[in-house]
Amino acid sequence: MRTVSLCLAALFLLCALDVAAADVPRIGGKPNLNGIWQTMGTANWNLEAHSAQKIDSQWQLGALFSIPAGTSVVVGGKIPYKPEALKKRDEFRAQWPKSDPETLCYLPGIPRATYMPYPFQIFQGDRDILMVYSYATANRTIFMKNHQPPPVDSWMGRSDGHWEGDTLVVETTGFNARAHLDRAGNFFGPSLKVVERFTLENPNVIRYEATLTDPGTYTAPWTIRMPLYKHVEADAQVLEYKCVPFAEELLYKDLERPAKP
Amino acid sequence: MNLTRKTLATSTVVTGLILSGTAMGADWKQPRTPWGDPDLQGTWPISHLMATPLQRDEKYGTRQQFTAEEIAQQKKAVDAQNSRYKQEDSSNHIGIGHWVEDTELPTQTSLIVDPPNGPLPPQTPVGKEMSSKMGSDWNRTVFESVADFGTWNRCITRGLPEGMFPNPYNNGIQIVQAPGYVVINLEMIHEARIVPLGKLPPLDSEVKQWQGSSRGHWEGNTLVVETTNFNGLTSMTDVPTRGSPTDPTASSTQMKLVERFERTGKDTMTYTVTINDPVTQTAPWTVRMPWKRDDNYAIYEYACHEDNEAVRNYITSSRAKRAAEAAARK
Repeated sequence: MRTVSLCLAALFLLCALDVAAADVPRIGGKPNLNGIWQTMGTANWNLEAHSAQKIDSQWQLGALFSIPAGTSVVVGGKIPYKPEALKKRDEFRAQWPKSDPETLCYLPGIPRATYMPYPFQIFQGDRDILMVYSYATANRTIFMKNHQPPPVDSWMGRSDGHWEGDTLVVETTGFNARAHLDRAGNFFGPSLKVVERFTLENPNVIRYEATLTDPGTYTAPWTIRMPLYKHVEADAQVLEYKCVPFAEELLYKDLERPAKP
Repeated sequence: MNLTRKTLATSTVVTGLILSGTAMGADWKQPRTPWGDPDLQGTWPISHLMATPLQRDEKYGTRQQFTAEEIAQQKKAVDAQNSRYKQEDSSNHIGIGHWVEDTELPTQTSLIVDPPNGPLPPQTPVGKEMSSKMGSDWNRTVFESVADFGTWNRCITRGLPEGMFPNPYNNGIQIVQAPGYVVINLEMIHEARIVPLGKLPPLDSEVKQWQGSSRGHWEGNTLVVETTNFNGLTSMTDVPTRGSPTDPTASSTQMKLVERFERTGKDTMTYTVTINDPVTQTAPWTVRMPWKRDDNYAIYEYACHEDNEAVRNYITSSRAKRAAEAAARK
């Protein structure tokens, strides 16, 4: 009751969020993020707003594989590219799907792993947090202790996590910068730092936010926001999407030779 | 390179931990997670078992342990392998010594403990036929397509049970627990085996997976994991695990694994796996390994497929070799 009256006295919205967070399931005193999660929407197609459209190179697939329309998940609408980076993004876009690492089943990187169109599972016990993605059987450890610089650059980077109140904050650096951000050519450079915030809004929704800072590519840090929804089916489980075999024909087509008579 | 360096640096620390673990063995009590499950968490790399062969040399019969004398006889070979890294550094010539990680002296005569004399069980006629059709870069010199390679060379998976066997590098195994789950996270090729405990029904048999589908339960403090729903496209064995057959060992969709994870001390665990595939093999077989915890072991991202040049290079060089041989014959 006291919280409620304080809410009325103070900023209502802020307090309402606090009340919601206090009600969520907890583990070790922190919001319990365990579960199988997935975004809805079209962020993996294009983080920015886009119309529905045909993919000219994939005409054989007709309506099966065309781009659904979507609003922007970028706060403010547009990614603040430097002019030369924007030119590069447009080149990647023109060369898609060839330019997209997803086409060849390469590791998705962060934050893209979160909004791939496949589920992922969060394992939160009493130590480091593990996130396991269906796509390409990728995974990453969120180190909750022993924070340190990345030992080597990698596709997924190194993720160090800490709690700010009821929000899990994850800082990821050490990218080899070969992953892309979506199927529309949006990309980042090796100096990228991603700060993600996972806030459990209710037992079945995480408010997800990621801020990308990369002075080599963008004029300012920018943020994406989208909800993660929990899979609540009784038989929910992360199944393999081992896509290497799906990319092999594409990778090695040029090596094919007609069978000898 | 960093990897081997790291392994060298931590090997003395590990030995110290093991000794203290043994000394405290009598006082050790299985810890529990805050939600009450036996706690198996930590990093359990199996690099120390690289010199232990999968199958046993016939001369040891049904004996599972080497004598002290037999262990001593292998010291020279293991030391030689472990010193190659330093030798290459001092000679400024990098090769296999920077590739193969450090290991320890073997104590078991084989990883296989059943059949009691340590060989793989004989294959059924179907199993032999399937094995002969599998790709592998260990038993051929002619490469024409991806079908001529094993699933590890293709960076898909080492498969099971092979993925749980020691390998020359990136042997990290991490166990992570959360309420209702145990995850067995394999460093090689970033495969996290999710093991739901309890009430999740078995996966529909229509769904086949490279790593199958696992379900776990506790028998006392032992984690028992049953895995089915395999796609039958992986080899049960692979040559990089010492003492493995040169040819692939086919698995079928009927393969079933039963694994047991039993922690025996602060830093020790006994891992046992029984493989039963009535389609390809005439009898089940069991592997047992002593695991050692090493939380200083860092698991690296094994991005295998992303820079896999092996398939293309094997095919093009195999063709070039045959073309040169044909030209020489003319």
